[in-house]
Amino acid sequence: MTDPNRSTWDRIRGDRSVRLGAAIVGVVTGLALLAPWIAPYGFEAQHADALLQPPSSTWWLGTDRLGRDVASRLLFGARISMTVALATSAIAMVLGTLWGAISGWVGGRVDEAMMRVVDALYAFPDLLLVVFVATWLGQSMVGIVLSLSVVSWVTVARLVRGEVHVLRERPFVEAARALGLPPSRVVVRHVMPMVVGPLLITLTFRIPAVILAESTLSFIGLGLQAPLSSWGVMAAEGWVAMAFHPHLILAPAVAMCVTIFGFHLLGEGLRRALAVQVDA
Amino acid sequence: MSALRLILRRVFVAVPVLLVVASLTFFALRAVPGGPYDREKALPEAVLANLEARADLDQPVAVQYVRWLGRTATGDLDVSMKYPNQSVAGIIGRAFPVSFALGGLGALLALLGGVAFGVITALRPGSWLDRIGGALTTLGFSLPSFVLGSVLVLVFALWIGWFPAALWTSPLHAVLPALTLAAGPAAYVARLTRGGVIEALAEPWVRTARAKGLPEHQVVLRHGLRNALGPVVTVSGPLVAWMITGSFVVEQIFAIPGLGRYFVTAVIDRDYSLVMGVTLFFAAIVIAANALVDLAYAWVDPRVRGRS
Amino acid sequence: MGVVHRAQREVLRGPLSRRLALFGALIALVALVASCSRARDAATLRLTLTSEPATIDPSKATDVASFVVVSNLFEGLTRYDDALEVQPAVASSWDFDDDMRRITFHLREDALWSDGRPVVADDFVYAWRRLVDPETAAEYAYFIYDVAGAEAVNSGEAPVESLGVRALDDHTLEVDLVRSAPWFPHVTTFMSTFPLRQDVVEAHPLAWTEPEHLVSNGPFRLAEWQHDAVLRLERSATYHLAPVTLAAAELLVVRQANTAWSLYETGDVDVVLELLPLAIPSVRDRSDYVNLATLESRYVGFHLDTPPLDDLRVRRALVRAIDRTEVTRVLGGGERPLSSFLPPGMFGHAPDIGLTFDPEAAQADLAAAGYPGGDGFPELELLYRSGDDWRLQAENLQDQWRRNLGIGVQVVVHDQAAFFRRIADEPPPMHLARWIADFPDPENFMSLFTSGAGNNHLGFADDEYDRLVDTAATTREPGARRDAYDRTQRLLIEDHVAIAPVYAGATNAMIRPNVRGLSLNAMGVVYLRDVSIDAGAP
Repeated sequence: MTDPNRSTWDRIRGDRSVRLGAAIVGVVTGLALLAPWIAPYGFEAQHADALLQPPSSTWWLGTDRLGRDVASRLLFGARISMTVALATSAIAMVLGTLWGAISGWVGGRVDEAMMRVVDALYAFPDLLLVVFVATWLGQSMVGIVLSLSVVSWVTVARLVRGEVHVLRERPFVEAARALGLPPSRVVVRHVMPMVVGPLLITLTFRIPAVILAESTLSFIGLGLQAPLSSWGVMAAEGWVAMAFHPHLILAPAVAMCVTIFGFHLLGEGLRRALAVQVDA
Repeated sequence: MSALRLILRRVFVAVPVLLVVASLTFFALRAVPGGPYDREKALPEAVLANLEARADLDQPVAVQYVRWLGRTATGDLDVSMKYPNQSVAGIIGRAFPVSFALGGLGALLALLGGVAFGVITALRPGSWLDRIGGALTTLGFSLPSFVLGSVLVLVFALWIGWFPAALWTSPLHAVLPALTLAAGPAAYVARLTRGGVIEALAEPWVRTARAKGLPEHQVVLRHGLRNALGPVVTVSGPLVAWMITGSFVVEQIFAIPGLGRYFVTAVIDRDYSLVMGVTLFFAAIVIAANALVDLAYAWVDPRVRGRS
Repeated sequence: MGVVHRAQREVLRGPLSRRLALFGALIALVALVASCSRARDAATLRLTLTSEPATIDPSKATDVASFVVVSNLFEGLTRYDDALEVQPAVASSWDFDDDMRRITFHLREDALWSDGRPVVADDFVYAWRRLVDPETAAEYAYFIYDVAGAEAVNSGEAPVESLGVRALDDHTLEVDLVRSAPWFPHVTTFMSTFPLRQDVVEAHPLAWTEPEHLVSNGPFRLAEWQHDAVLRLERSATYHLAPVTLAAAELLVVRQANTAWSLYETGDVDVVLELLPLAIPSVRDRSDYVNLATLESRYVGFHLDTPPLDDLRVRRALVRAIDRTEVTRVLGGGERPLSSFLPPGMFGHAPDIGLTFDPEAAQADLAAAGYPGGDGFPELELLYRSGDDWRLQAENLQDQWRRNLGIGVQVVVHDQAAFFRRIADEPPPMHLARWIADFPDPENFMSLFTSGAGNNHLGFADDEYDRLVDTAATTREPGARRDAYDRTQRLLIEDHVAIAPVYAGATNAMIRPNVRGLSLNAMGVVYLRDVSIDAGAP
């Protein structure tokens, strides 16, 4: 399926899924960045005389229980959801990569111990962990990002450890070590580049997972604090009103669907182009 | 290595993991602000003193921990703080079978349905069937389950009226909740299977099999599918964990008396004993499930079996 | 390629897909058949509870769901009628001695337990001793602190036998009180004072509340309890205090309000309590919709020591800048704006007390305090607890203060336990609070803000207030009582502006038209005894 005659970059660029996925993600990111300028109203501006309005020319996607413009909240929501998702994924990736790389490279007892910690965290109910951390740190952006990061980094650690562990035995790595190169240099310059591919793919699947996890947190009541309007918050608020004011749930649901679909396309395309077997 | 040794080794390793998990939970609970007896209007001193004495909360944390360790080691999981006439073991004992049934049905639907769906859409890539399939799977993994669940209720319970909107009193009540629970994993499995089957079917040896006159469905099932199942089996481990934690949302929406909702409500209630019991139980389940998956892997893959 | 396509088409028309289609048709058929046979027992009332009862042990129960169940399984010395007047129940009459410090209850001779044994005074003695026994660790032990010795026993300083309750004979119960307490018959309506059978409780200390062990004395007995799912109550054959028109009731545990609504729409339940406010616009004109004011007061608590809230003008400005009708409109649950503290329906409710919405006066006050147009005013924190209704109120108040005063307020949420701990340990400048009546008496509300009170987190202290609350508690003459409570409300709300009252609570319910006799009262008690279901179509 993969043509060894084309360079990796060309394969990535040529893949249809990657192109479509990247386009979707690009549009969403663009909207998120431009939100303060293109949103017709502020995301927290309440209009007491226009509560729960259906979509119209004044309110493109209607208004919510506090008379806030749904379209504006959706645009700012892109900003907030993407920020939370990216921040969480970044922290998870960094922490997980460090942990996994060290564990996989050093091996032996240290590896065992570090992986035991990972196992312990795996055995911990995700929801419980998130609830704990969110209760402790509060429900600000920082609190939510940290609580979601705590459960996300473990998968990355496992993945990286597995890859590094295997790569360590490869001839080219052995050669580098035989040459007397310091281990850190070997890891960083020879091993890690091989891991970048799977990591990138993991990232594209992590982000949608965080967006969904954040909506579940909001459903529980431990989501992002008011008046922040992440899509998760909007979905939780809209869900209660679904039987009576469907426009409230439709907007964030469609936004989430499209965005997550975009990320999945991107991830699958990358996976194909890089010919990598990754269990993200 | 025999299966028995594998199991024993897993059990041996599980004990310290459980201890770590439980201890983390124990101290985290007491560190989080707010306790089980904080109220809008502060309780009179005597009342509060009695409540705290009953729960050992008047002792220093280290003493509480030691006492808890001792009790748990003998299998006594104590009584719930929020439900003073129910033992934690009792709660887990009656609620877990419900979650297990729901989760089991969901897992079955996710795996079987996902694989079947994946195979069917893989046979005609690009057709209208495949496109609809793609749309459905996208909805499956990109919608939060509470949204999906409510949509299913709206359509199948309120409009069409085929299934009940909530509760858990007959097998029919299991359909919508299980579908909601299975949707995400099923979509994921379907896409994985589809991708795997398409790739497998394009391999040269498949053309050979067809040329040899093997009936089409045999080609698909025996060669294409078997190859694609590898990643699906790997997914089964986390699938089990999802069935248990994901059940929280489904149980809330469909008013199902399972164990899932206790994960969250017990922490919010600061019901220390219930949180400890549920956490330990869940951790044990996950460890056991992962062990089983590894065992299955070992049995399926002779290379792994041969190794120690 | 053509070969491959043809071959693939064969599979789809092949045995596999045919089997799948058949399977799908089978499912649809089963669903259709099953939905026809979902016949329900028309004589059973089905209603929803928003949570699983924490426990139905009357000594330990504190939550609303338990309250509903216990009120129908058990009966105490007295009970409330629809107008919240005290009526005889197990006690057919009672008399006080001259200084109101001893009350003697005369029990009916025909009151029976569900196993046929008569209800005797000793059952009350046992129950009340158990309530204050430190071993029981009952949260509501303080409900009978007016009984002599109760507090000492509860603190572990005296043996349970020293509690001032005794059975003079099987049907006479004598109670000694620490002070003159004419309201005591109200206390005995409360579930914590219901009688208990010592032999039953001691036989199964943990599980005596399960259906197979429970013995109760009310109009219903507990036939079945599937935890977290449903409680089935059936008419008790041994209850003779009044006719029980309802044969059976099923109380379903449904936590989500939308789920309860769906069940009502599909015809699976007859009564939904605590209807979600979003449903109201579509059911407002229907005969099965009920809105009832509750004895609940919601307000903003100020921390009087935190600048700039220590300035009376600032507090007045904050209160005057709130348009309460806007808040209740946003909430949409039929709540009533309230400018004073005692809610409508409570004796002493005074609608003319309090500061009305006046944005210009508010701005003038703020300017006089040194913050014209809101300039230089620090961003204050408004703390609230998790919950849609709290969030909506907090966000709306935040916006109103911004619009009407030009100040910024930061809304912060905590989960319930963390919230209570925070307002007790380090009170924020402002927090959203409520008080729900334990008893339909103003003393219950006004005593919250006396100097030593257990939830006076405001830093409010006024001698005249303390004095008035104390004397009003024992004043018998209604006019004088009312005057005293008027004065205390004015002190709290107009003179000191320690709180900003916002609204009085309300509850909404759906009750099918063929369900009769279901009375909801402002205390949230749901009595099922007099309910009857008309046969025929709902």
